Amino acid sequence: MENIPRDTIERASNGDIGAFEEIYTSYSGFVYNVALRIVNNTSDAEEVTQDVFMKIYKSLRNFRFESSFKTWVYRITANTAINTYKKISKESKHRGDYDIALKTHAADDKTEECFKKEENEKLLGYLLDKLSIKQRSCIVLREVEGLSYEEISKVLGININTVRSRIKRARLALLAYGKEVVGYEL
Amino acid sequence: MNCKNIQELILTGYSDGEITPELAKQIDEHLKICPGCRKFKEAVEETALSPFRNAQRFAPPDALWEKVREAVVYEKNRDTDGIFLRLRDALRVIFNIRKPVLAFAAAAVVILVTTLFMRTHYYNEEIAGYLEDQVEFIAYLDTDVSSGSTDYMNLDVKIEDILSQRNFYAHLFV
Repeated sequence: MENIPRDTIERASNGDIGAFEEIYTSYSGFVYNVALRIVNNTSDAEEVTQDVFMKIYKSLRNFRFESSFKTWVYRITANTAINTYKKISKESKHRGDYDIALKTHAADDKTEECFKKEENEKLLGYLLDKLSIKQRSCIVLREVEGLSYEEISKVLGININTVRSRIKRARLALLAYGKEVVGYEL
Repeated sequence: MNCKNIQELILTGYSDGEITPELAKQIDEHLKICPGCRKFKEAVEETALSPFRNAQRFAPPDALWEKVREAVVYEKNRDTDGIFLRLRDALRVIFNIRKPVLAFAAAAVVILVTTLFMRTHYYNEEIAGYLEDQVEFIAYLDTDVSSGSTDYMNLDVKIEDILSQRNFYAHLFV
């Protein structure tokens, strides 16, 4: 993802809606997908996305161009999604209403490929539910968005070794779940 | 490197491309000869990597931008209103000052303006008087010279007199 030109950010910070739409167009995909994988349902993901862009709009004047705008947006996204996840987890323990697969395709035009995608989405939902929020955020940023360990450490504000350790423990948890479900032996 | 180290790297750096090519090559060599680590790698790929790497990317709903736009416009208008509200509050503070204080401030302003005006007027009168004296003296000199009876000794005295007057006025204007 390309960094937004400085001029666009400055115009947006002065209230130019067109410039702000450019920022939204560039980053809404990332924001929405990270939110969706962390909070695990579409309505909360939409709420997180809206919340993230309002935070960006309100804080644009304070952005000093000392760090990358992309990393700044990613950090706001991760923090907002994690906080929302914690809030909804408190409200209803283990919601398990993973609804992405249901919205993927209409029921009457399922091809084999669509079916596979849908099954994979379901599996992904179950797998993410097995992870703690700390592990989940690292895995989502690494696997879904392809961020490097260094980028993840900047976004989450943690040490790179902590990132490595969380990814290791997350994958061990997923392996244990696979062993339980598929029944393979190591 | 033993199997434990290799498996740890399979869970992290090896699978994510975060190790050096030399280290990756060492692991590949090990995998060729170790069936346990090979099986571990396959299990990691199947359970922990492939579901995420085949994950779909979803586009945010179109209506979402409209919601964000509305919220941003609302926020922007609130900012603009905020400027006027702050201005109104500042003016309210001024007009909320007690009347005697306002009356005293008004009287002070009137006295100040009057004093400045009077002072300027006084200076103007002095300048006019000085100029009048000078005109009168030059006219007197002219009369003396034209009649051929100029008293040069007395003229020196007069010039001294003028100079002292000029010094007096210069002192006034410093």
